[in-house]
Amino acid sequence: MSLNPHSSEFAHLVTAWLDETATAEEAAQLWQAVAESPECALEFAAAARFESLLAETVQERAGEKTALRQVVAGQFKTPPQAKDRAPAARRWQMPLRAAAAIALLSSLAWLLWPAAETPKMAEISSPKPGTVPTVSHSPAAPVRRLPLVSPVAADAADTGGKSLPQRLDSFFLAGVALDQVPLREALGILQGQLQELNFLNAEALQKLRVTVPADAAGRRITFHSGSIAFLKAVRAVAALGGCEVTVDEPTLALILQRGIFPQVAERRDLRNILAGRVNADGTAAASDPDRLAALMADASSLGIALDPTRPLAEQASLPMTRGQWAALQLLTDTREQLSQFPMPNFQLYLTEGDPSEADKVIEEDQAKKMQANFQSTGTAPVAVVTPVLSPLFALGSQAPTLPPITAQPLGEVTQVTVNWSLPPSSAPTAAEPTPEQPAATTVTGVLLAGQGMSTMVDSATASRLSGSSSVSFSAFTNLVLLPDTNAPRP
Amino acid sequence: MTSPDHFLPLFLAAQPDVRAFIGAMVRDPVTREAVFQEVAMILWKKFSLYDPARSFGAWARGVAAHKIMEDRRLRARLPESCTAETLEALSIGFAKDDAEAVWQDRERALNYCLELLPERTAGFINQRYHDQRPVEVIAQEADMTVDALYQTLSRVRRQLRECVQRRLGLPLN
Repeated sequence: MSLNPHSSEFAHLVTAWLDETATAEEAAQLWQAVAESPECALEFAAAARFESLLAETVQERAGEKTALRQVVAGQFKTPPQAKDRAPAARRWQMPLRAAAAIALLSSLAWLLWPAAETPKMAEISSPKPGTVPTVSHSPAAPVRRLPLVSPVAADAADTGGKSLPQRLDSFFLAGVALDQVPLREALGILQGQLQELNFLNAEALQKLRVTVPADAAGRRITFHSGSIAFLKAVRAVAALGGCEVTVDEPTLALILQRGIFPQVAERRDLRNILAGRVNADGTAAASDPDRLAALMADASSLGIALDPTRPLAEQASLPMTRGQWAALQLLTDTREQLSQFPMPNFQLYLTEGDPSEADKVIEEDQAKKMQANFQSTGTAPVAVVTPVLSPLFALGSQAPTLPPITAQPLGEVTQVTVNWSLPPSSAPTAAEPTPEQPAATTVTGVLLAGQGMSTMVDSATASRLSGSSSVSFSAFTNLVLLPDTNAPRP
Repeated sequence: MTSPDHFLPLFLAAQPDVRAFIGAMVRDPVTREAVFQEVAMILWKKFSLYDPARSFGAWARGVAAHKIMEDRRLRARLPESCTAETLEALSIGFAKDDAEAVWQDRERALNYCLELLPERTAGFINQRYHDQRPVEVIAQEADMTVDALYQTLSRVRRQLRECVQRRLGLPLN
């Protein structure tokens, strides 16, 4: 049976081959797929070409930067080779050197060209399409991402009094999408996400080890979630692989210990997951339709066979493995954890538009100065906003109309997003947005404690946010969010 | 009959693609470079046999495929399912991918995308692709497991590739 060229399984084979980590069986599978399927051949060709492009481009960039330093230092004498090569036949040296020189000169011109002011690419894992959207940067996509400002280098002692398990259980991944991934690889993916989101460069997180029993390493895992704490994700993945997790704090290790596998399906009542749980308003979770619907969605995502069109009360006894049950409990715990996630309050100011001040993270010191300045001039915030937990990062949610300001836990910090869109009447008629008129519809920034952010919004959005239609705003107004230290947290 | 003067422009234009094609089969960088140099020699020597009506890149890839298949040591490193027909299918895949966007456009887009990488990640990429350090060494120095670093590199490659696709206005998979 030929592989789907866009499946994670084929992607794994290609990656393993290009990384030279493929087993003999995986290598045979890959080339068999290439032989049988033109689509697989195309996908492998594209991956291999990109791999070569990446290697050559990185090498050329490093070579050019060295040459540029030499030019600046006045040591440039003869054009260096654009890349090191194995000894070539002499007849090639002149034309290849000429080509390298041409490439070098054109690349130097590129380096000296004014760099575009674009925010850095944030690295958030790309979950399965349709469940959690990919958040990535591109000038064509309606997202502007603010650079992380002044990341704090925390040492292992700076844990805010939390133990390692507590810390790992409050470190949020943006989402998890695993489809039939071997357990060892699945844990590697989660750990990779942890490292990527370790904004604070916490030593304990950098040094964290995850050990897997050898005979459990190849068990295939399928697991999807929205925002989830790292430790919960690891426990859920381990449970689905028939393992349990212990945290060894002194050695900074998560140790998986194997249990019985394969797991036998037993009949259980899903509603027992919600038994004894209470919502924030004091109502019983087991009788909350929203909680029941979420439970059914989570159960379906784990492969538990239920009929989504029938009430759960009519499907009291459903077969599921111990791992599925454990993973479902963890997903339910996650929903509760997110519902209790402390949201920072922000004071919202609207100021005269200044394009040069748009899309910035405001550092803590600057935020305090701005607040003091606003107070001294009698400028009141137009609103005090508590961001809503971004529904885009909830498993199974559709893309709704977003509230103006949303937030999401990311790693150990908070990602705040200002969501707004140009109303149809003010939509740019030109094919390309003009420099004065921002094209982005979301601006998102990872904020450390005490930081604020500013972005430019159109007058209609300013009017909406301020709740005032009588005040006239300039065509482009700065929206400034500053931490609100006054209002009590809800 | 093609003039030798025509060889260099054609070869320089196809050079990255030929390297990538060889790289798809030969992963060791030293061996890959040696094979490329040998293929380049063959292309020069046999240029008089090149049919200008045919794509130079396709012809060059065919020469590279033949070179690899007839070399016992290189052939031994490939699985049995990798036959001459398989390499022909791969060459067609290369041609289709090249038809979407030329190498130089992809290179420009990738340079842009590399600028967006956070410093730490860019460091991993540089160590892997420029310094050509083993992943095990990079992981040890970064206090990461080897698996975690492989996953990070895999994710970054995928993000960079998607960035390039978007930059060129090409569809994403």
